[in-house]
Amino acid sequence: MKLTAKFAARPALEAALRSAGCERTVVYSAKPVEIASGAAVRPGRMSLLAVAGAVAAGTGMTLFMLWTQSDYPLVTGGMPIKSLWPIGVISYEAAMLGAVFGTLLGFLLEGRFFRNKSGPGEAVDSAWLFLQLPCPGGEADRLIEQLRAAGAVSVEQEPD
Amino acid sequence: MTPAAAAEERIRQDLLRPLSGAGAGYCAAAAFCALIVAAGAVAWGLQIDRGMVVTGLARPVYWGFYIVNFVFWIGISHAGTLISAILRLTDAGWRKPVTRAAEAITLFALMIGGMFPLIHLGRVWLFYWLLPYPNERLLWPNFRSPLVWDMTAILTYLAGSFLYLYLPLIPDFALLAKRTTGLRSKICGLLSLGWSGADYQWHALERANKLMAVIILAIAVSVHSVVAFDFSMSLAPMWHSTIFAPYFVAGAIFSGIGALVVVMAAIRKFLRLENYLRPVHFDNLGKLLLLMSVVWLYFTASEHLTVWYGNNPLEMNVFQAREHGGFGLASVLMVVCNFAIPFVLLGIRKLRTIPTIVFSGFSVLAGMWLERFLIVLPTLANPPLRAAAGTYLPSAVELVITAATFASMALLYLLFVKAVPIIAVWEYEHEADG
Repeated sequence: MKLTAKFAARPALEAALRSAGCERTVVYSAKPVEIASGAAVRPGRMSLLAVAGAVAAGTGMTLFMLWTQSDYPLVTGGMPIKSLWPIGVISYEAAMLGAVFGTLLGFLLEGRFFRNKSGPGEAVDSAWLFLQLPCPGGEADRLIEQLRAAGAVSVEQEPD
Repeated sequence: MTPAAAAEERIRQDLLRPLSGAGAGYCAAAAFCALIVAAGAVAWGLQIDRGMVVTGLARPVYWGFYIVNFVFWIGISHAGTLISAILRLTDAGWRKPVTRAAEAITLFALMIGGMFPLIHLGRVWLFYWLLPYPNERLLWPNFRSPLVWDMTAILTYLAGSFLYLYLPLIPDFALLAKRTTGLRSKICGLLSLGWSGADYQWHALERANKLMAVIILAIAVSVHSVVAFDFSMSLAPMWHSTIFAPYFVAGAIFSGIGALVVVMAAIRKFLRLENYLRPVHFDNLGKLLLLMSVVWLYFTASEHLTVWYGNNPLEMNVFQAREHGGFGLASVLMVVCNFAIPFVLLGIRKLRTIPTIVFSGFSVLAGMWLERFLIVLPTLANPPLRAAAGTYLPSAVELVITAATFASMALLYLLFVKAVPIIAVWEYEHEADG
């Protein structure tokens, strides 16, 4: 079972988070909500993925270009066959492209898209704030009481 | 409904209002632009059919309007980069109503600019020779060629700027999926990727936006540097310069802001968004335009003074053609448009109003197009062998294709403002909340 509580304003939501605890709660809103209590902090590794993407794509492209130049040495104006200066431009662009795709991957993973877990439909188009939290059997009444005391306008109970 | 909720609802209705319905004026403008774009397509078809002979390109001037337009439009694409990325990274709150307009300019200008190397190729069906695969003699593309650099840089920038525009659109697509019906609702629902407004999604979006701002800045600087390398890697007089890359980047940002000011004024007037695109936004952009005008003058003066003092006969030949020869008038106009007009209108506080800022934007656009023209043409028309000097006059085909690119920009924008809110609803609400 899970509970979904609806709040009119941020202070009430923060009070509810403090009283109900922050474990496995999810806040749904139509705009980003900055919660002062430090609840709903989501550490992520998106920047790591971006850097990994950049390193992988940049290195891969550099090695590929060096290989092509060995595969068919192309003489241009007496310049060295292999030189990092002129291929550096494409290596750089490939690294940036890798970073773009790394960021996209991180975004999709951290945003948990395509997992078919939708929140309250009203959340994307209203000024209300929603707090969803798991509700172990037998604790529903106590949690509902706590959420109402914190300022929830309504609390709904639904199956997982 | 609480007063705060009522205010938010009013903001949503205001920002979503332009999406519904299309008046006669809108339809007429879109049809007019589509007509010019169609004319451009016919002109390009004619060029493909008959060959490059239908253009004004002839020995020794092999780069004409197409390359001028290429550099110009790639420059315009820097609008989104500066306004959105730099201001996002510095947490400048005033950027929020203007970011999407700027990011859309980036994407559309890049699409248009990226077409010109293809148009200029002549035999466009051989474009795939640039792709990294070996031909029948197992010969790989020359990765040391600036043409291959161009393709790589532009494709990277295109992918990055598309994602940079798309990510902040996701919450608005979810909103639109709720507020519209039928096919439009379904498409918006698909594009929203199942956005639910969960806090982990907001965290992911915030992080992705910040990261993309850093990445897109790095890409944007490299893209216009690569465009500059197209010129500076040659040993041609007045092209072979070490400051060309930063000079091009500064000019690109300059023209990008000019374009943004003009587009914002049009959006403000025709979509009736006066309450959202306020004088302070224009004033701040006007100050940025003024700053970039001075930076542009600094680079131009450095470039010209170095050439003049060096007194290299080959370079002076081109220098004289630019300053006093057939291109003299264009040079004067360039300085007037890029420096004199913005400096006076934007530098004097009493004169800095929305109309003068917009006029300065137009002036900078004209001036920067002339600057690109003056970089490309005089060097080619005055080669080191003086007996080989030539002239260039654009043909009707080139003129129509050039006009079609401006119409394409207008048409893409007209379609865009009817497809998505031109001001990010969630960002504006967050700003109003903060």
